[in-house]
Amino acid sequence: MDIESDLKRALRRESPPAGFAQRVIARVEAPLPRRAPWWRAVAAGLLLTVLGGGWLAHKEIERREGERARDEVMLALRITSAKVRSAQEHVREIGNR
Amino acid sequence: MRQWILLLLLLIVAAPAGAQQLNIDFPGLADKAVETVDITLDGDLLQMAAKFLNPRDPDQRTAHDIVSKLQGIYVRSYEFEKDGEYDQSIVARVRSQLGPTWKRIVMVKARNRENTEIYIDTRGSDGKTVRGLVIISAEPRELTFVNLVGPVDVEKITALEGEFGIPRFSKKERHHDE
Repeated sequence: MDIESDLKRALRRESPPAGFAQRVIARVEAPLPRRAPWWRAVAAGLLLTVLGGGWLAHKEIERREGERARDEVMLALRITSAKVRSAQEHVREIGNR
Repeated sequence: MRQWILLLLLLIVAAPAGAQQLNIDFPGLADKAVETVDITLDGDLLQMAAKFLNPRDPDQRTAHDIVSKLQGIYVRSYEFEKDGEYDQSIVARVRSQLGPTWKRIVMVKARNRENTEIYIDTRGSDGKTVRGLVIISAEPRELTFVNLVGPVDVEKITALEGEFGIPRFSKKERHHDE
């Protein structure tokens, strides 16, 4: 292995392919791709916030309604139970006389 | 024509199997009362309530067992300031809605005290399955109607009181602005 000849071969002067210079110049002169305006990001953020907030609010309303319905069930069953037991006690009282 | 006859037959067969909801709403009654309880739970609301009952709580688990089979819970309770402020015929009007499948299992009559009638709807193939429950409780100053629609386990209901950890039911206080 001859390092010197390897280096010479690797670093030898080569001409660029045809049209290379024009392509570089064209790329440099081409306008930069337009970045999305800032307000789009803000709008997207707002939309996400509104959707997320709406979903959370809906869940909260559902939870409250569910808890209220649960409390009403408990109250209704308690009234029912109290009335049945009261009637049973009356019947028992009459039976004990 | 045959289809119509079949449909009609189906309706006739299906009708007794359905549970009966009574009309226990009497306009103006709540206006006379000082306290009113008005509970109407059916369909989706009842299913929603069942979802919110905590199965780890023994009371709520029992309530869940009862509610999961029911199609409707209707309670109207009125408390009045003075004796005899409600029309006695209201009780008869509720009673008159009960068809032949309803059986009275309890009737307690006591002068100047609570008069209670408990009816169960025994419609069904075996004639024993309770398909609904109606309680009419009339006191000089209090009138209560309970209508449970759907299969009811009376034993479970009576077992509830005493297990409930909730305070004495709080009635909605009517505020007289006048």
